[in-house]
Amino acid sequence: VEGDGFDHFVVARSPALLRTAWMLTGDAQLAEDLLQSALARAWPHWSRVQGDRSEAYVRRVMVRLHGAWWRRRWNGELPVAALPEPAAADAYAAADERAVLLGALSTLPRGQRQAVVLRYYEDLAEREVAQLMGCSVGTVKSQAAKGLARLRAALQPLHTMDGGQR
Amino acid sequence: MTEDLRALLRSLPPDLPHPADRVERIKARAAARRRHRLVGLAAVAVVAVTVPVSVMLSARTAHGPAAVPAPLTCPNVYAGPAPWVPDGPRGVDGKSRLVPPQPPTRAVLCAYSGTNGDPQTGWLRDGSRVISGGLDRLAADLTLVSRRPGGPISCTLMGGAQVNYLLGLNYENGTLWVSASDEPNHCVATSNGRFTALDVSADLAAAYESGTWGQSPPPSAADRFPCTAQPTGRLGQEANLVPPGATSALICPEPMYGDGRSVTVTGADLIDLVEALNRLPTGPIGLGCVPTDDPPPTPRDYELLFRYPDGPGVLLRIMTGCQPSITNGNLAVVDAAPVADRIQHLVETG
Repeated sequence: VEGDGFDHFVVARSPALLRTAWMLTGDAQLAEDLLQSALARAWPHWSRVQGDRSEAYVRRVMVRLHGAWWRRRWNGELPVAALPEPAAADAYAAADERAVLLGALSTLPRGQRQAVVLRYYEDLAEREVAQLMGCSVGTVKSQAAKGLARLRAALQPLHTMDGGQR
Repeated sequence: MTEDLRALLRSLPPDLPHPADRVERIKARAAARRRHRLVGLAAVAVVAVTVPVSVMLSARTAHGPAAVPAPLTCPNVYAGPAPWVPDGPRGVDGKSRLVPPQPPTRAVLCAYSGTNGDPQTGWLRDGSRVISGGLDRLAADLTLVSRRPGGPISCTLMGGAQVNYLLGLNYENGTLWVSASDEPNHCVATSNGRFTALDVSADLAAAYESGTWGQSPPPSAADRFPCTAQPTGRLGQEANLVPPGATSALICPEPMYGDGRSVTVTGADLIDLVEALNRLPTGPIGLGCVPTDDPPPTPRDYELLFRYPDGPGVLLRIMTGCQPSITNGNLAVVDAAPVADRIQHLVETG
């Protein structure tokens, strides 16, 4: 039956999928839209994909849709040339790191961002990430490595400052 | 990758809202998507049957598949005096209508608040919401909104709060923004960047409040002022006092255009009334009421609401002691005398 178990899946798994969508888009409204679009595409085929494969299927649709939106977007957030100034106080260090990391994540090219989010936020194996992104394992490795390098470079000034103060 | 960076990544997502009707929204999207696919398949089938193979072969390399645009997102700043839109219509007709007749695949509303005494540019975004229902009706309502008259328009000059709305619409093959401003004088134009329309800010304000399109007005308001209880200003009223297709008319006589004596006109009476009104010589709307030199002994004022199956209605204001005597928001008639007795007769016999 079309849609069998679908409602339960949406209620149970939407929070996690929405967080992934947010990591990919960086915007709550776009994340909700991405999640709903992916689920709307999955629903007509639910009788074939339900079970253990259902979440992977929805995740794959979400990643592919994100790629399509990225290629075709006409406006949206703009990468900033300078990342936010790090504050000096230790009490705010964690918040600073998150802000800098978020800013750096938003400047990553689409492939690097997807690879970093799926590999290191979702903790998926390289082979699984390759399936989701529709590319080779080698491409996942290189995209994830480049993305990580850029994130580390963005965080480096904070760590240097911390080291100097302590 | 060190664990601290991994932990930092995992700490990034904020608490995200979860709409209670997410399942229903998803299923509505799926249904809309299915309808669009069926229409697309039907169009492809027609083309396949009617277009000669040679033409198809020659055109095959000329065009790639149409790109589905990314969902529009609200700008952080309303960057110009109203009406301002971030971008003109793309891939859809925004020149002959405010919005295309087909329903959008997605609609987002953005709100920017200030007062009409503030500098009229650079307002920051207050909020935004995706319109989750009624997109078919949104298209039907807004595609038939009348063009705003080109000449000077008389406006009151009340100061007060103003909300500039941006409505971002996505279609299968394009996007379009609509700007409308809710302010005390109801005098800021609505625009998509190419087509300037009468004010639709009340519709946008209601949609922003409810999250869906097409909420009915409160019954009390509809009961008290029935002729102004629904949106009016219909595409086509720039050419005819009453555009074709009206299914009924409601006559609301003064005082207050709604003391319970409103009369509904249908059938042959409606046809006769529309024909009589459309026979009157019309001109562009002026700047208000100029008292006539020879006022009728008993001035009779009316509001006439013409209703249609879809979209906004047409509201005629008739003031027999004024010149012009009849206006529909776009056109004006100098003298209502040829139809005044007919309308009064309908009121008395209705």
